Amino acid sequence: MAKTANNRPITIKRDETRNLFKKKCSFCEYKIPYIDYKNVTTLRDYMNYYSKIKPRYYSGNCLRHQKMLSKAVKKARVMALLPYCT
Amino acid sequence: MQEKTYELLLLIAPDKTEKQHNDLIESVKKHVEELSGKVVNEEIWGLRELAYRVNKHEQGFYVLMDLLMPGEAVKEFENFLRLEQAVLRHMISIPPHEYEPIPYDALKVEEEKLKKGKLTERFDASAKAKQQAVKKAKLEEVTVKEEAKPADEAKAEVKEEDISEALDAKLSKIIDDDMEI
Repeated sequence: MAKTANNRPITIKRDETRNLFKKKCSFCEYKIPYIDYKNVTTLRDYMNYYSKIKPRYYSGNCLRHQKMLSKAVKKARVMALLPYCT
Repeated sequence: MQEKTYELLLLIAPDKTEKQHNDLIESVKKHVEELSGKVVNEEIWGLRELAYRVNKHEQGFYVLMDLLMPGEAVKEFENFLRLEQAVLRHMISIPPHEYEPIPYDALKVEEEKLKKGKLTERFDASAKAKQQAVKKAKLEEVTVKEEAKPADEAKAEVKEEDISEALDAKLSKIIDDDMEI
């Protein structure tokens, strides 16, 4: 454990630990303004083995991008680019 | 009405010859021009496997187009697409101004990588063999611990017997001493 000059251990407060272990939105890092329904490879990463959309808790997306993602996936399913179920 | 840029994706039945495909696309373009619109971009994707069966077909012919037309004419255009027998699915959407779509050649390469890279890792025979080896190693660790335990218990039993014998000897001494007094 790291120590300060007074030989006291450095402790992190509870509120600060949340930011360290939180999963970040992968779309916000690259500042993507629009998710296209034709990018089948990127959409497949956010879907289950049974081709269901992953909830936001597991993928770490922000609300704005999760809504864009779900709309794009549903459009692609109509055009037979992605399956409804395996 | 002002004119807007719309994006069209068409799914056409694959049972037809090249002439019939081209005739269909030209008839769609004529209908757009009748409704005072223009075709800006065109991209023909060609045959492609579908994710599920559509009208008992397992492959489809995709066509992408960009249109410039007023908003009132979109409904009539959709009615025309619905009545055509060869057109199975259609999707009209409004992309943002600054968005540049990815060309289809780049998409194909990424899809092939997906199929080769990830799927084979899941369903390979070598992956199964690795899992079984890991399981065997775990079982060996558990058996080694169990073999060590009975040896320790046997030592403990031997010690208890010695202790009990010593205690009996002491008891007898005490009783004899008391009797002597």
